[in-house]
Amino acid sequence: MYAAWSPHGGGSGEFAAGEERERLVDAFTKVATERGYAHTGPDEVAAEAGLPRATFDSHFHDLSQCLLAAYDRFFDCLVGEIEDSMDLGAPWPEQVRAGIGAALGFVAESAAVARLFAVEAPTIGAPAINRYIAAVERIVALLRLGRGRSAAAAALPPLSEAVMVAGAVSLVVAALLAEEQANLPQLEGQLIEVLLLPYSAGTEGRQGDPGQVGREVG
Amino acid sequence: MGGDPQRRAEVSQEAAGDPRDWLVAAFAKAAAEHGYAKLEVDHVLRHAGVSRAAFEANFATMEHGLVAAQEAFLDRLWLDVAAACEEPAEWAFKVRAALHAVLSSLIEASGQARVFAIEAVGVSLAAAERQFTMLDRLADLLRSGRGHHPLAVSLPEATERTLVGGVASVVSGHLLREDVEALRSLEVEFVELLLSPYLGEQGARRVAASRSRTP
Repeated sequence: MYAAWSPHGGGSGEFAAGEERERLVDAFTKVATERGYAHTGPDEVAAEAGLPRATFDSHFHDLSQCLLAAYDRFFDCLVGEIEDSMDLGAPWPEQVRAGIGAALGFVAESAAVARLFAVEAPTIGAPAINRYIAAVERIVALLRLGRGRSAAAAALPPLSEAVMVAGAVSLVVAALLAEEQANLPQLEGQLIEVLLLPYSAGTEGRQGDPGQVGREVG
Repeated sequence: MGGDPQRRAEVSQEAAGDPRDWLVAAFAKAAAEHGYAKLEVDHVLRHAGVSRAAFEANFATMEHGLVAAQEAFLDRLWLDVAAACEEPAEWAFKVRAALHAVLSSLIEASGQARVFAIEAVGVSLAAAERQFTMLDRLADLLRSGRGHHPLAVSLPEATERTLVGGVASVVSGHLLREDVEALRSLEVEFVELLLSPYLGEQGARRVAASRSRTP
């Protein structure tokens, strides 16, 4: 689970700069998730972190910079979960299944935080959207590993993985937007099948059930 | 608007319609010009040639204006798709024509597309919901291919929405970076990706690269 604010308790001791920053990011994530980004201010974040407002200002120019730091950490955790779940020695379909399971499990368990970053963060504009694109690119790079594992995938169009991953993310964001995170586990089997489609395709069209590879591992 | 003849002509033309329509059209033009983040009611009023009271009578907030203008933009895109699908061609070529129509419209009106596909979705949940609804509609349209290609019947349910959402995200990335011309060169690849689950990779490649409307 994404324990954004759990590692650090309250208290008023002195902290190293790195730890202060972490506490502020934790506090931001907690407050913004509870109140919404539009109703969150630096004072509330500093108070939640148990630090003076001046400490917030020494780490972040403004609240959006703190949001981006929290955003980066959330996606670092998400991508880390995916990477950890993929056993590079396992058959490719098993790796994809594990990666999607880890990603959706992470998002479902931290749904309120995920919604903050997926739905509210874009309100700050291009910096958040660029972060989103970079985060998706990291997942695309993982899926692209499949080209070396499957003859069918070696000749896929260059944008295949980008389209599949961005499409899958779009479905997850739609579920978060509609506050239907309870449906995410049902999406898991679907996404496993869809993301494995390119690896089950023959070069002269489908010779059988196109969803078979995905269902076998899903 | 003063002595600008083009502006006077536009106002005169608009005077025949509903003030709300003028405002929606003006909102789209002004938003494309300034970006939503810097858009002010006065910008919209200058394009619409109406009073602030008229704006306030139609839209309680700027967000309402944004969503109305986005809705009009998406409606036009949908009409482009519908027109492309009416062409006398096989299903796969209709998909290609529809994609071409959408990309052409987005490239032609890239300023508006950037506002409604990216900025609006960031600042308004209602706008984001409308965009997702549009993606669902396009996915439903693509799903009709299952009726034309029996092997596609057993495709995973989420196939079309994943493909359409993925292509839309890649397009949005290009709009954000303001390199819309690159979309023209990606059109063939998009067609290939959208059709592969139905026709197989080589069949999709043939349709994407072909100049005709039939295989």
